[in-house]
Amino acid sequence: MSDPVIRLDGLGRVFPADPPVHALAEVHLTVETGDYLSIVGASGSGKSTLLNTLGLLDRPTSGSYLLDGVETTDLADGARAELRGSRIGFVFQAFHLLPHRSAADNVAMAELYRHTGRKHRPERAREALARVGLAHRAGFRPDRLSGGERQRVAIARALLGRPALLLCDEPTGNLDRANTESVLDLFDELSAQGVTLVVITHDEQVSHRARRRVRIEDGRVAEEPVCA
Amino acid sequence: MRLSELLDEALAGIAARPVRTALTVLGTFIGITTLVVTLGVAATAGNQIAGRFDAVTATGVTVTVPPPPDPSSPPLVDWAGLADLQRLAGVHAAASIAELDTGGTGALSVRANELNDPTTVTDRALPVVAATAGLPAVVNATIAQGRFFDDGHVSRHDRVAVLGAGAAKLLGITRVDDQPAVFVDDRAFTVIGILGDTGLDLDRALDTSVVLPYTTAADRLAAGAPTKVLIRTDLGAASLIARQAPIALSPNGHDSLQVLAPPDPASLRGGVERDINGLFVVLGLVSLVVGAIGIANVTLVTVMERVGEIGLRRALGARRRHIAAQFLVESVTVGLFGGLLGSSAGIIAVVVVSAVNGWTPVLDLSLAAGAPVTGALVGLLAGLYPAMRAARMEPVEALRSGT
Repeated sequence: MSDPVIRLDGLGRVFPADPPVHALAEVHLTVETGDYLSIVGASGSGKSTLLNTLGLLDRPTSGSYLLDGVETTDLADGARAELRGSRIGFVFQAFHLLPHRSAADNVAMAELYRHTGRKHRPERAREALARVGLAHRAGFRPDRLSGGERQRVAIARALLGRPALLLCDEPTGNLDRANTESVLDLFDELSAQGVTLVVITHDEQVSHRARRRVRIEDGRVAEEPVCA
Repeated sequence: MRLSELLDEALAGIAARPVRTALTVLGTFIGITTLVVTLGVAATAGNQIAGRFDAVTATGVTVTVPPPPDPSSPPLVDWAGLADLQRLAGVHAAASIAELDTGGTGALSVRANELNDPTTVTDRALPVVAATAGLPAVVNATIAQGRFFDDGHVSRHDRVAVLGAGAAKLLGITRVDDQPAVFVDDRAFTVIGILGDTGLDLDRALDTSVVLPYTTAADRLAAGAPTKVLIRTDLGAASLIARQAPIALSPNGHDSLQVLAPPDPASLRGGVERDINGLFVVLGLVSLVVGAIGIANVTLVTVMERVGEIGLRRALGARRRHIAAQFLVESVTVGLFGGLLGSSAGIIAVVVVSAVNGWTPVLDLSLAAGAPVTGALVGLLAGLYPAMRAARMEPVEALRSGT
């Protein structure tokens, strides 16, 4: 059995304030390869802090975080950036697509800070777009795409380079019902293909599609059964 | 991340907002244009002035000999001293003159004939000059009539005189073949020549003067030592001779001699360039600084606008130095564009100005090459602070606040 993708042990994050804010406390969580996990919680529950920690954007103040078997808490900034770039694909609520670049260019950006050559990058970007069903939109700029299409471009970008983990932060927060459905269908497909998905959301509908559900409240996480 | 990728990203960043980029480039453009035009026109004009420099006035040197401090001591320069001067390499011709000055008026009473006619004024107060024989060659004088006196006249103490054109007219002497006489202080001299009214560039006063051989003048009119030594140098030797002449003429008293030499063409050119440059270089530098501030400002605004992009790039694995490098390259590119356009426009302006004035454009190659580099440097300096701001941003904050 290979290492789990994520292994959190007694993870804590305290923000220095008066009194100190315990955004995360004693978090234990294991995510295996191929898992489709949703993290739900009200705003202020520590959801974003957990996401930032999982995404190596924030550093925990205590505990240990193994990503793909690599201990990340004592890594230097540069090494964390490299690990982040190569192992984690981000999907944001606001898409974060560059407005002046084509969809294919936006997808190709994922490889910019990796050690992969640029020779076949356009082909790889097109493949990733095809995987999310947007091969016909490769040359379009984001302002000519619908919200759902934009989010799928962002997912294609996150998929490029086969990261160990797809980390989604409120991926449907800016989408209407129909587009939400299409994105969630895509998640199901990806999960079926073996992609490890962690989706952070406050939307019960979204979390119901995941195979595992973790609720976070006041910085503490508890796994909930998913009613099928 | 390779350099080519970095350049691609930076260019894409600049190209995303073409109008803003053009306006940003404008500041550096104006600064560099001003500098190139200033330096180019100054070099061209300076060269022009040096080129027009009159070869005649560039070869005349005048040494003025003051009277000795103690009247009883020997004069600083005597008539024989000219021989020492003429041995200097670069001296084409030289002559000593002494302006006879008896009453402090600088003029003596001169008349043309012994005729007492109460109805007309026959006496003229004219300057009288004692000179060595080589004078016409030195002052570029022409001889209108007769001849100038030569060394024979000088050594024989002949009582001859040569009149300047103006003096001859005043005295009513129009021809010399009838050997007219002039009376200087009631002493008679035979007029053997009249100078033409051109030339005389070193001493215009000779035009109205009566010129006598210095030996005769010493005999008859108590003329003293030379008061001026006029030198015609070879082309280009004027400044050298101006330094050497006093020492050759008066080894012991050369400090007291005053030398009037044409300005050195090189220093003249430098002087013109400095005159033109001073103000405009300051103007150019000011516009460069303004341009730099413009770039810094716009880059900073761009950084603030692209917070989300910075967050995204960090999420995609960019390190801080990648972010800093991208914004630095963007501002350097903007500066470089400004520099390239500015030096091109500046060079065109210099050529146009030269063409309009019929000058030969003079362009320093280092100016043409250095201007774009200066622009890039301006961009680099201007981009330092915004790039640092961008690199220091925390990815979490950047992702949260940006869209």
